[in-house]
Amino acid sequence: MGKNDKIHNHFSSVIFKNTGALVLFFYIMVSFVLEHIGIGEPVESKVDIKISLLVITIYLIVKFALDINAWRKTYIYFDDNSVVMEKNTINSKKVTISLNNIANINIDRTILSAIIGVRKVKIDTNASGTAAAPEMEVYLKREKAVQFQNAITMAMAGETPDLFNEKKVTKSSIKKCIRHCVLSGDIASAFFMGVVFTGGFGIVMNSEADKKVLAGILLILLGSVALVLIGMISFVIKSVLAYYDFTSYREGNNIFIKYGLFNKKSYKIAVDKISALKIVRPPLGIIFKQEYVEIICVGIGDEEKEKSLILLCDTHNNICDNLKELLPELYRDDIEIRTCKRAKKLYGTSLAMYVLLITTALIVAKIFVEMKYIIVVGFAALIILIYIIGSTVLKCKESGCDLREKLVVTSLGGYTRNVTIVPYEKVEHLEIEQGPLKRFAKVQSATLYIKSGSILSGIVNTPIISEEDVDRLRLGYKKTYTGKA
Amino acid sequence: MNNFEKLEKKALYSMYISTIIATVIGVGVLSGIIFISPLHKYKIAIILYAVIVGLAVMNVIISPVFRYNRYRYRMDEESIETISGYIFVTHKIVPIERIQNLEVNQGPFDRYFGVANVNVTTGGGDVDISYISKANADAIAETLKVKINQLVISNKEQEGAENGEK
Repeated sequence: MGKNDKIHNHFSSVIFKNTGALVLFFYIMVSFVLEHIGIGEPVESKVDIKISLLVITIYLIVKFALDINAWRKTYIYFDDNSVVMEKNTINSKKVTISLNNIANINIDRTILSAIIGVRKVKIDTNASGTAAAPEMEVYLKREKAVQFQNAITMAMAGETPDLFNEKKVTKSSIKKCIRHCVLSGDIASAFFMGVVFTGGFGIVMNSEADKKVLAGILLILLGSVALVLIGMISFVIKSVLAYYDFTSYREGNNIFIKYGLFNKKSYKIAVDKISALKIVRPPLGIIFKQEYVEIICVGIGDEEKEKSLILLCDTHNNICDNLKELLPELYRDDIEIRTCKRAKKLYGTSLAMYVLLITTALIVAKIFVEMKYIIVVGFAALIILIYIIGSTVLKCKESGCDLREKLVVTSLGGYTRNVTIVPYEKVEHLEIEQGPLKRFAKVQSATLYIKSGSILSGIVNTPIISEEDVDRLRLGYKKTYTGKA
Repeated sequence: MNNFEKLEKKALYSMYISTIIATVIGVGVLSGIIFISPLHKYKIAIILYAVIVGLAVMNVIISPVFRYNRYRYRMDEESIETISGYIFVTHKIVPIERIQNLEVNQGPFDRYFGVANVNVTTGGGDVDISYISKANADAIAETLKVKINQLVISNKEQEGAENGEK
């Protein structure tokens, strides 16, 4: 309970403050429209209706701008034994009400607030007298208003209110939701479509075939690109609708997740049922420094295309802060991913094999393909090569493990990086695999099978790790079911 | 590889039979594709077909021996472990307390050779102990059943004690 646990008024407070002006604006607006379409009686007034409309519009714009600014800079928080509302605009104001002086806390509901789902919490003090206006008015969502009222009542009774310090709500704005949907989208298909289109375009441009046939091929290529673009846009729109108003918070030993615009979904997940935590950095997250978080457990993520998200795309620091609040049992902020040197050599070997394969393909292409198409084929090969090199570099840099006493942290690097945190006690069974190359390099890889909503999400693969680390993993796991190492 | 058991010789024959059947089906499908379609007119396709068939025949001869020699299994008080594979070796560890379902399977050829497969299911998926003798499979299944029942009873008693304390 401190200054850091601050809340804002609900945004609708800006509308409530200007209800009178808004009613006047709509009255003049309707009169103006009716007069113009000839339904209403012309208003006999000395003041021109257009000027009135202009004045009220300017007033509303200025007033809204000032009020939004004031709303952004107004916070309510508990400080020692007081409730404080602090406004940091040009005219700063700080209202402090001692908990001892609070006479009553009421929740007000009007028709408009009922429609919006907002309640006004009014705090009256003993000092204000019966006729005076309430000392503090706070606009909050219905549930939050009740929680705020309870928190103050608890604080007055000398108990620790759980509104701010135990239940930190992570709510995603529409901007954040759109950002998440764009960043987590499938850009690989767009990338390859771009490559195919460029290659196809190059071939068409260099070809001497019938112009009608070439125009047809070009049309098919453009159509395919358009289809991919439409697919991507529709994915973003669908995702925005699905994850609209994404909210996650923790209450006691449960995590609550709510989201959706038309199809609203609400989950209550017991923390001890969560098998693993997965921090995903999507490909675009490399550029925009963003990542999102999924949980793996039974009952969530089992529907088609549904991800078991608990946090939408955000910066690494924000994700860490939120995870500390949401899942301190699983999250560790001192994760140290150690990459195995022998694994790096193996990644290098596979890169060399790819390079050899592409070079051979190019040599074969030079024999069979006409010279004028070689540039196009070479360009395609170069792009594939850059893609593979990028992927290998990221794998070498980011793949690894951090084996703790009770947790396994695996990081699978690449364009999409998955960091999965699994407690040993949640591993149902373990599989260790070694092929001839891995045997030669004295490395292995393991698969942890955990309980989950879908078969695929229940399989957690470790990257290539040293045989010594695999032994540590095996012994760590053995300790959970035997009680001894 | 302490305390790991090897498979009996009859498992090798069963492995041979299952590999031969799988190869015959695979080669049959491939032959169908090559010789029904116009692909057989291309020399390169025939060469590739011959290489694949040759590798498949080699696989029939070699793989059962390797798989048989590599295969190990072990069951103790706490877990079941299997080591299997041919080119890629897999070591599976299943704690007995995590086993939810138990199944003993025997196909017609397995029955002929007197071998069986024990399939155990955990919350994370299935694990097989394959090609073990039927008597051994029944003994493993029975032991596992007893151990799982004991675990369930002790867990219930523990829960009851915890609830009583509350």
